[in-house]
Amino acid sequence: MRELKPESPKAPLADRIPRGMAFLSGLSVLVVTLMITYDVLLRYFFNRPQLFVDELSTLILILIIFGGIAFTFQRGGHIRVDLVTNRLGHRANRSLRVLTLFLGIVFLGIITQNTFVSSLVAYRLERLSMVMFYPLWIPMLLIPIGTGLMAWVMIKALIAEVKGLRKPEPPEGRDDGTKGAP
Amino acid sequence: MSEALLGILLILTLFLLLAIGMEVALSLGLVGLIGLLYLKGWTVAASIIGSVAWTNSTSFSFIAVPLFIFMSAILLHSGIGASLYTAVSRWVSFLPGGLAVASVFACAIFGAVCGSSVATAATIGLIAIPEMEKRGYDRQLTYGSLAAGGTLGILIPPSIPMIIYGVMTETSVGQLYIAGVIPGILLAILFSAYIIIRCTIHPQLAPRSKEAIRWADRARSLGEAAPMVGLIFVVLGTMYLGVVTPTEAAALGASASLVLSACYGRLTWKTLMDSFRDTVVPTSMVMLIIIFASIFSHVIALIGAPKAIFQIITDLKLPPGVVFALIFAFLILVAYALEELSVMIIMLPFLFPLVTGLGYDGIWFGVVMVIWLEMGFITPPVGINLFVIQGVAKNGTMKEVAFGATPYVVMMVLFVVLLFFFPELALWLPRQMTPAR
Repeated sequence: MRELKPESPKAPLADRIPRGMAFLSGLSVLVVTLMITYDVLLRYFFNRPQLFVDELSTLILILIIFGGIAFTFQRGGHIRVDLVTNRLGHRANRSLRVLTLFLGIVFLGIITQNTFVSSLVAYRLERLSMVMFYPLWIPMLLIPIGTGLMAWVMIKALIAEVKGLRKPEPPEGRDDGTKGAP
Repeated sequence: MSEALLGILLILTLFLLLAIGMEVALSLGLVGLIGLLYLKGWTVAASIIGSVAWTNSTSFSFIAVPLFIFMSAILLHSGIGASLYTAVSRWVSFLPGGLAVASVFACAIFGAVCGSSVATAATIGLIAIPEMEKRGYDRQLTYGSLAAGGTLGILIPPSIPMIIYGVMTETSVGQLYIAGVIPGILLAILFSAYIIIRCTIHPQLAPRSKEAIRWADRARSLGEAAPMVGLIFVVLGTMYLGVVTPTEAAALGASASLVLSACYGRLTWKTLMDSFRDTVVPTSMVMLIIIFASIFSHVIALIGAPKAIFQIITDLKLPPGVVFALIFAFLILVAYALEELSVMIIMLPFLFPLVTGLGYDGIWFGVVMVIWLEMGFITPPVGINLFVIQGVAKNGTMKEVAFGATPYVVMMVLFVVLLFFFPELALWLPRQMTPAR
């Protein structure tokens, strides 16, 4: 099982970045936990609610979600239905995976482009959050960073699948362990 | 193209993409995008996608999802939940099948501090399975009680699926939590009663211990279980008293779990890193499905599909009870084929307006959906708790786990029938609740 810990400098960049982002995502969960606890305790015992907590927590949620999506893909954590594909042969299975990865990359590409433009507009218009006036382009930019990173990891998986297609089919009943993409 | 035809084509495309193995989240998003592009054109579709992604990723209610997962992960990796099993087993081991009964009740109590069925089954299973195997318990009985007991983790609050259901349907998460308490306790009693009756008829399934347990040991076990009871108060008590919202209760619970782990000397760097990993992966997976499912739901709402389905069903002039029975039968069939949480997220935009339109309570339906999820978690081939228990039980086969869990699926179906006739079992307690500040 892959551990979520600092990666060796020799590991490929495509592995290190998603893992680093996932670490930041996990750390953000800890930060939000402590922030909200701090707010509840101050509000209940000293009647001093912390206005920044609600807003900042929701902005950090973006990092929690999108910081982890590429790492989750690497670990095969995004749910897929394999009821049909499990019954197909090695070659058909790989061909379908190439197709689904391609469609996924196109979709994520559109989302990345779209959300990047939105954050650029927010930057140019100097859009601020409602309560604490944080610049909104920063959390908005985390969405295209996350989806772009996931698309990048999927491109790597797609290349692995295409290379796998050229290899001869493994003997029946044996898994050659080169499924590549999760 | 008419909107009805577009709706049918989009749903068929979604099923096609799911069938060829595309990620559920991406399939939903892609179909939603195609629908939006057809209906609204590029510019409007682009702005809708951006706004839907932003709204869902910045919802304060959804923060409870990673926080409860984090809390469960801390409890799982620090191992502090395991002492609960020993404490409970000292009180119920005199019963026929006592250790299996202890598994169910330990899962139910652990479920009150943990919103995940996987973490519940794994935490209790890690200590309960070796104990029961050592005592010579039947394997199917052992694995079935733990797989089914683990599912109580999502019915007894806190519950991650309830947060998702609540936010998606704009139903109070706090009320959903409280609505799960009585059904959760009743299901635990039902599971235990089944174990006791079965082991009374077939005593060879669960050999009795010759070792007598003293009252002093039982009293000491109460002390050992005290921290977990404290955690239950932190999570549920504060919410029930109206001091905190569900999201704040999740944060308090996660903080209390960290403090407890530190007090037991088990808050190591490895515990924290493993907990981060086990929080990030399910959170990203679930939240990405929710975000992209929202794009899909937006298109479905634009087409007016939920309204059209409601109209078709009401035109059939079937009694609401029959409609509900058909819906539930359909859901049971789906549970055998697909991953249930994704199905719940996909189906809710259709099912919720239909069921509430027929006059059923949204909170009640939330409880029914969670019991259905519980069933799905122990239904082969994709029941996640079956895999968890097989992973924990090093000697067990999937067949033994699945057969062991099957009687509990039947009990859950019967329990939904009971809830249908006595909805107050779920709805009475939320009515007594103080609203959060």
